[in-house]
Amino acid sequence: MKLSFYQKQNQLDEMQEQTLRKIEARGFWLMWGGLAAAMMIQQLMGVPEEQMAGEFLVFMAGSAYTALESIRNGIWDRRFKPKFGTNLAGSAAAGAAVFALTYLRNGYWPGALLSGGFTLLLTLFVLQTMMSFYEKRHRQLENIEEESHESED
Amino acid sequence: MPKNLKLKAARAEKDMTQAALAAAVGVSRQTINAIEKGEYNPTIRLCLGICKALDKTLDDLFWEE
Repeated sequence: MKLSFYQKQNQLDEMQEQTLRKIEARGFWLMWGGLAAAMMIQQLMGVPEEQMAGEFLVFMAGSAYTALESIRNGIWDRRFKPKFGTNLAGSAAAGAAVFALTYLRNGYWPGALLSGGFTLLLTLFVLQTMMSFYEKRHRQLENIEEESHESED
Repeated sequence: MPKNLKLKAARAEKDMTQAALAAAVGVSRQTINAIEKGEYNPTIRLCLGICKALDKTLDDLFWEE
């Protein structure tokens, strides 16, 4: 059965395609931020973790896909350079966010400090590991040999 | 990006509307309009298509002094 409302061929021209990609990218970040905010609010409200499993799974799947595909294509970030200092700052921000969230939820600062500290270390480890994979992949892509056209001449 | 007045002039020379040029190169009219207004930077493939449709070279239409 042929579907009259669906066409296999792209109906957009190059400018419309670019515009749609920008819209999709903005939509992705809106959903990413929205999901993160929703999970944080639910944490603060004391919602059981099982109830947030769906959001968490979608959030992690989207994040993991974006991170892994970026590295596979030798891309780190538009503005931030892959450096230990930048990774440390990012990890510190994540640690501070977890500290604040845990403290607000439980009101017990030593526990919150422990959670924040652990998050900082874990995030730093993940970022450093990803950075080393990125650097390896970037070098690989930058050193691809040029195609030889001798046979065409 | 500055306006592409050369493209507009070449199109007028051929007595083509934006819609006619768009149909000739297989894009939407809004894309041709955006190129002329300097709001969109076309790919080399589309540049070549426009040049062929207007009997011009890339230098004639897209080279900036």
